[in-house]
Amino acid sequence: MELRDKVDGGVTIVEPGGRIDLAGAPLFEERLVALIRSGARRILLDFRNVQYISSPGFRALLIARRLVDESGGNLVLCGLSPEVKRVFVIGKFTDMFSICTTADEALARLR
Amino acid sequence: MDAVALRIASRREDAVAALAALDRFVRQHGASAALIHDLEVALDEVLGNVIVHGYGGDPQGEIRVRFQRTADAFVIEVEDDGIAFDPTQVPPPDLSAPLRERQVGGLGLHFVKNLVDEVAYTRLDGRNRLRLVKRMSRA
Repeated sequence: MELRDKVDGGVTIVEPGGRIDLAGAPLFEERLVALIRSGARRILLDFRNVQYISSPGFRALLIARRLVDESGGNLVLCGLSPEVKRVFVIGKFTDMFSICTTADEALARLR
Repeated sequence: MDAVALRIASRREDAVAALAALDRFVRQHGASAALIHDLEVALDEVLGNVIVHGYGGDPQGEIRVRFQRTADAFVIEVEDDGIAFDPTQVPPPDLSAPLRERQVGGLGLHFVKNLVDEVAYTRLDGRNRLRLVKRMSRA
């Protein structure tokens, strides 16, 4: 898994790439928690380069979502491939997260 | 080559190497993007379970992984001699729980059961064997 993040106009954009797998998910979780604890309130998770996400990755998303809610922030996902989207549906996560098709759409929702 | 067999240690790094081997195997055998995705998530979940629950985090355990392409399906077999554990008997997670109470326990196996066509468990000679079958679509 690769992981990049940047801040653009007050929105923290996190771009994981490759597999958010059993080895990469702990790093993903650690980074999301660190960003939120250091003050990130509006977070865009751009999944356009994500090949797959397995259950430890969803643990990271749930933790991030709870922390963001506690701080009164917002977290939006975008760029899910049809395969990745299907796993969100199987796990019934589609109602739990705001999911946009494109990054522009997600940024508009966050700003 | 229609089958590949690997022996790995019960460590996440080794599991990632097995996932990379699966990726190569299914690509060589003409699997679609959706099929590659589903098999990789399923193997990721199964190996994670063996590492965390079967061997309780002990990195010295041995896991045998075998991939096979049959006439109409891909078959993955995972064998370990960790504690007896039948994943097919794990109750499904509560997917309707509100955010605050959502747990990831049981989620991985829920994914496995929904991403492949067959999940079969056998305990034989002190070993767990899990067999996953993903049929090729006839589209």
